[in-house]
Amino acid sequence: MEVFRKGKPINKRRVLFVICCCILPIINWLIFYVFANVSSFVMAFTDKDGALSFENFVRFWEELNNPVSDIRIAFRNTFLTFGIIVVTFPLKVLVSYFIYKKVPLAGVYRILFFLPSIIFSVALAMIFQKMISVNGFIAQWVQDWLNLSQPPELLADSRFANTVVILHMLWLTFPGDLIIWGGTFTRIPNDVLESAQIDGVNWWKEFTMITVPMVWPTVALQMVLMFCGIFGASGAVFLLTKGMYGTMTISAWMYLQLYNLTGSPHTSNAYNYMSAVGLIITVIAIGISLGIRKWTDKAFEEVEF
Amino acid sequence: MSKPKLRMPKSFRRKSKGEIALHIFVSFIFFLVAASYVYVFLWAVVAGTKTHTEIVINPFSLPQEWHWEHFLDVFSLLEVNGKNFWDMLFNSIYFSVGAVGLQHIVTMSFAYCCTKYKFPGSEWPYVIILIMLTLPLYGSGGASYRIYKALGMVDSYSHILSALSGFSMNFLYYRACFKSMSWSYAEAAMMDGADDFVIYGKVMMPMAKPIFGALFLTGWLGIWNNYESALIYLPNIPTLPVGIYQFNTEMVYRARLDILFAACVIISIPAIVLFIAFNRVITTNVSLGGIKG
Repeated sequence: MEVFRKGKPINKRRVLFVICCCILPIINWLIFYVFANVSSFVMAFTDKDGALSFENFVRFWEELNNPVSDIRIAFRNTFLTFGIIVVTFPLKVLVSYFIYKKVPLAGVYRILFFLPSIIFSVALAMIFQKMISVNGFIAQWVQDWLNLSQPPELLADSRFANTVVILHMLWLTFPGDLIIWGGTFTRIPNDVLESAQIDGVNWWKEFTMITVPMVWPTVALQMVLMFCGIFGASGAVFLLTKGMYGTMTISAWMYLQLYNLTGSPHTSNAYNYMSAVGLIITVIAIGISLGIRKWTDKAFEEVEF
Repeated sequence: MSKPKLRMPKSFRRKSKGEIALHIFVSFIFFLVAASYVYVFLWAVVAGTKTHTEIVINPFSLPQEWHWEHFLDVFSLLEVNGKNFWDMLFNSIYFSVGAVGLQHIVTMSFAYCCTKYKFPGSEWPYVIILIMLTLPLYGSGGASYRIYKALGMVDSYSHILSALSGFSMNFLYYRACFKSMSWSYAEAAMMDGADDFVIYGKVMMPMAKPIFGALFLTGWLGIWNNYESALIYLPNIPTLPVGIYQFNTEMVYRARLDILFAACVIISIPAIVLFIAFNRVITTNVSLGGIKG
């Protein structure tokens, strides 16, 4: 429907309708996205006295070269976590596939696999912390397995904490994105799969040569989004360890910068430094994103939203 | 007497023995994972009936005495910063239902307008959202906090206004939905004298109900469980997850882990019930990326 048509009088009520629909999201976007990011860009080049400088970038470089700094650990853990997310991506698609193919009790799993998303993550983290406490069987099992003198504090011991945080993430994210994949698989025409079955195609061929190619636009989009979110890769670091014992990740570090200064009138240079780190990882993320988009270019063009 | 016929489960018909074995094996793995999720929830139920000391000393044992009254005590004893359970429940409902409702109404209207009407810039939001999704910007948390603070939206019920955003992934879902909707319904309504407001409100919006319901529920679940932004922006207007978190951090003064875990169970129940009731709506109405062919 054309709002403005050549040679025709403007339909004021239609223009009013378009304005009503667009005005709020545009104002919101201008304030909380455009202005926030422009401010953040300026803050990255601002020192604690408010003067323009590269001080924050110099500090970042120094901290990156310090093997025990939070930033260095955060980068290491973020890449490690992201690597694990990439490796487990196909497995998560397979989980949705098998539920779609109605393995025994699929209907029950469809509900139970959502429990981690439904139960408060705060509650889940606290329950998990208690379950692996020194008085629990898990800590005692680790003690026996590694021949330790006493049960370890698994989340307060730098030998175990990061592994436990990653295992916690793998455990809770095992089902993957059931909503997206479930919805996508159900849109595959049944007759295609039925004719494949009549031709005697086994499940692996059906999955790799029919199902995945048919949902390839979704696979490509999910992969692009996954790579773009590389610096958001993190387990429940804040809730489980607050970034201590070698578990810091970039997103947890950013969150902790904000959380530690909430309500404080003196933010020192923390927000400016955070903006500078954000700017650097944005540049890296854009590079990765463009590379990935080029790689999946053909598939990406075919994405219909 | 004739033997009762054994019927194969529906999912096994027309499958080879190898595939049946694979499905059973996969189901067994799924069962272990699903059982671990259920176990965690049941552990919290049992912990809620134990005493604080029992939970600390022997977290995996059954209680010597089942204190089911702890689940009632939650309503009076769960208190942080002078806010009790009912205050937190109100805040949670206000920010989850209110914010998600506002966000979806705004996003749906925005997507509808940009999809069904052609005007200068009507394609821009789609392009901008794709860029925002694929080229994410990091580190603006400090700047955002200052903006919220300057607008008086920190520790304020007006924080709900931040939800009036249409530039999100949800825009893409609504765009896909409206793109697939025929315009002939609107034309018929126009012939009957309906204007654009009436067409949207009485013809197109009702047709988008299924996707609205699915996205609203998933969005609501996300905000209902959200502690991250609430902890930063609403520390003195605690929602339930923030209240639970703060109650836990103050545990050294209280020693009431029983109340904490009983509360964890109670506040999870509404989401679990709603999800079980509407899980088909959610899982069949949301898709992204399209199908080839």
